[in-house]
Amino acid sequence: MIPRICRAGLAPTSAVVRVAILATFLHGVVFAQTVPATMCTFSNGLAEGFFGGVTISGFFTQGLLPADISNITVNDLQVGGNYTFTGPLNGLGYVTVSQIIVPCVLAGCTPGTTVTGSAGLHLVPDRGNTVILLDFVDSGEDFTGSGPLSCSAFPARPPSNNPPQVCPMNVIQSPGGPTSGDGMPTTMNGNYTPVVNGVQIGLGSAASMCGVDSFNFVQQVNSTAHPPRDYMLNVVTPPSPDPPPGGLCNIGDDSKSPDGCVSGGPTDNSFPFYWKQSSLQGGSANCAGSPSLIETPITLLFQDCPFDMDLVKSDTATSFTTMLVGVSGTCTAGSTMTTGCAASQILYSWSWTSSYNGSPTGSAGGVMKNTSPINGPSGTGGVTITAINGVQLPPAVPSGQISMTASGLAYSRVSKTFTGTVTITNVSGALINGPLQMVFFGLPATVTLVNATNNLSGTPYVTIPVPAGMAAGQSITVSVQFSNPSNAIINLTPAFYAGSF
Amino acid sequence: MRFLWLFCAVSAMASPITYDVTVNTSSITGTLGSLDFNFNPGPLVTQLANLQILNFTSDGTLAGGCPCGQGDASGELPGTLSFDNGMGFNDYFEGFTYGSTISFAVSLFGPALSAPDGMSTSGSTFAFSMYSDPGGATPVLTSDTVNGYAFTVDVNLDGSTTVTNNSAQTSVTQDTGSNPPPPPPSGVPEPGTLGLSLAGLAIGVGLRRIGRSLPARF
Repeated sequence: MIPRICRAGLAPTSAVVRVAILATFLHGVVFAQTVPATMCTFSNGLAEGFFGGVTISGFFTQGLLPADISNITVNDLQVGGNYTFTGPLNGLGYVTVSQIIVPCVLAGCTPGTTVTGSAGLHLVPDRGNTVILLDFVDSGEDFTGSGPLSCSAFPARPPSNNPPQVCPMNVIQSPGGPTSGDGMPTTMNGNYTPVVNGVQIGLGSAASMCGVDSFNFVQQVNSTAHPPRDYMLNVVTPPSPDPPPGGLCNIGDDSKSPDGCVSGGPTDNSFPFYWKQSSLQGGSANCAGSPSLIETPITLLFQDCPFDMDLVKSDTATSFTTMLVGVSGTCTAGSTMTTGCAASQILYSWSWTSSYNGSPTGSAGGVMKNTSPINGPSGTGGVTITAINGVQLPPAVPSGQISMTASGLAYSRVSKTFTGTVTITNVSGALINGPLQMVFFGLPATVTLVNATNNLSGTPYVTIPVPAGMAAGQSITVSVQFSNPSNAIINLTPAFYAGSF
Repeated sequence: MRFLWLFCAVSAMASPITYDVTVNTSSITGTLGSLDFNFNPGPLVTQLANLQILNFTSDGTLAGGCPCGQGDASGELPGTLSFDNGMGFNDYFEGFTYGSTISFAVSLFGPALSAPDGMSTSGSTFAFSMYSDPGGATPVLTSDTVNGYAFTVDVNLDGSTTVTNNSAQTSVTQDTGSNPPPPPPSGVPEPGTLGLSLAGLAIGVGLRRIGRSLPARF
């Protein structure tokens, strides 16, 4: 029997306060733990009630000093909203304001008014920490159920010859769609989901561990065939910040000069950062036509789908360097730039190029920093990652020269991994030089390629055993083995490079 | 020396494709172990495929106490298990005390088998494993000591299937229609089965009585 939740008289703690408390606890405490603590995670927990169900997932600690932490998300399928509960398991943070508006006809209040109830969660680890019993109450409606639970020591004991990682710096970068007319990805995606010991700890906790107040990205244009103009119609010559102070020019039409720009006010006050403050508070990026939140409590997204409609094949592709930075201070948005804060640390960087010469689907924001939908097939070319954390990659193999298929991924309870095969075929009609590297961009933060040859600052790769190169028409099948404790769907977007790392 | 028994199932894009599976578990009779079935997509673009475990029969005993499924896996043995490849991990795992034999049918169907779209780049894979412990840590009756699979069935991109059998005690034969249909599920004795049957009978009788007492509404 799952105990019911006591809801009366508990005021919900504000999210900001809870994050601050959490950050304080973690900073300098987690790694000083003397008594082993346990971190438990679960996903796909399903609790059902009379009117439907909710899905519940997240993590919590047991025995962490000075206090346990947790981050549990309840997706209420009925109201279409999410609840997040933090703090010690089943503590004060486990009661919040309900998202259900109860009509007065049901609540017995003055007709024409409504009553807002409360929502609470109670979790009980069971069967030796292998099952979690769930009880969620929302405005009096009770949902109960269970799900599989996985627990391990937290933090895991670091190797004796390595210092503990105090600032998670794992960024997942992945070229993605829309796909251009010649089959290349046109969008550069980045995802910072800080992970410690395989567990997503949230941006607030990560900021505390890194000794900063928040995170953002900084981007620089290294070179371009067609330097743009800023909002004052001055040519922005690389290397230059992207966006420049005040943003790029207002686009008029090409019959007006210069370069279709027209006079107007600032277009973007993000400088010196990539994302402006308003974008970090509910803004979304939408290169592929499906908006993605830029910042959530656990993830900071990067996205850019630049286009240069005047680019021809003989032109050099536009080159960028993107950096995840720790931000110190309190940021204030001005008319042309952000003040009161500064990038205090570069935590991760990667360089990439875009040769895409298509057009936006509508009136896209800008040709360099652009997060509005683009019409992939309207142009050719795309994005290619050229360096990670300063390590230059060998030449990329154009995506149309190698085809790839894969088997399903069977799960082994013995190795606790998903195993399968990937078959690659040289469809270029010519030799592809070796050694050939298959780089697994875009793996979820909680997924590890167990049989990787090595990794590039966290991005795993496999060296294909063709030292002399891959002949035209040749196919090779390689085994892949993934550790995936959260059972996330694994969507690979691998890229190939010809040469040694 | 690792024993590997590999053969390819021939299919002419028919749907469903059914394999009859029989495992001789007499060497581990009485062992308290576990069974695992999972059916998962690949890491690229995967077309929808479905799978059912039918006609599970054994003189062993299922542990019960389910839910045993995760992801897009539903049902409970000895009844029909239904899977699709919509989630990353679609799994059924249940404790089992072995008798002398296990038999069941694996039926694969859905668009990936009946109408391959020619655009998908990943297949799907079904894996069956047996363990000699309730937690699923020690594989048994398989030569695959690395992953523990007794056998796997790959759904290929052209709608065909490929079986890889690592178990000398396991027979996996494609049901081509010429074989007699598998026997109806006789069920594996589980606590409460008789009670449930009696309850169902009582409800049925009750409904008939209610139906007789209701006036016609025309």
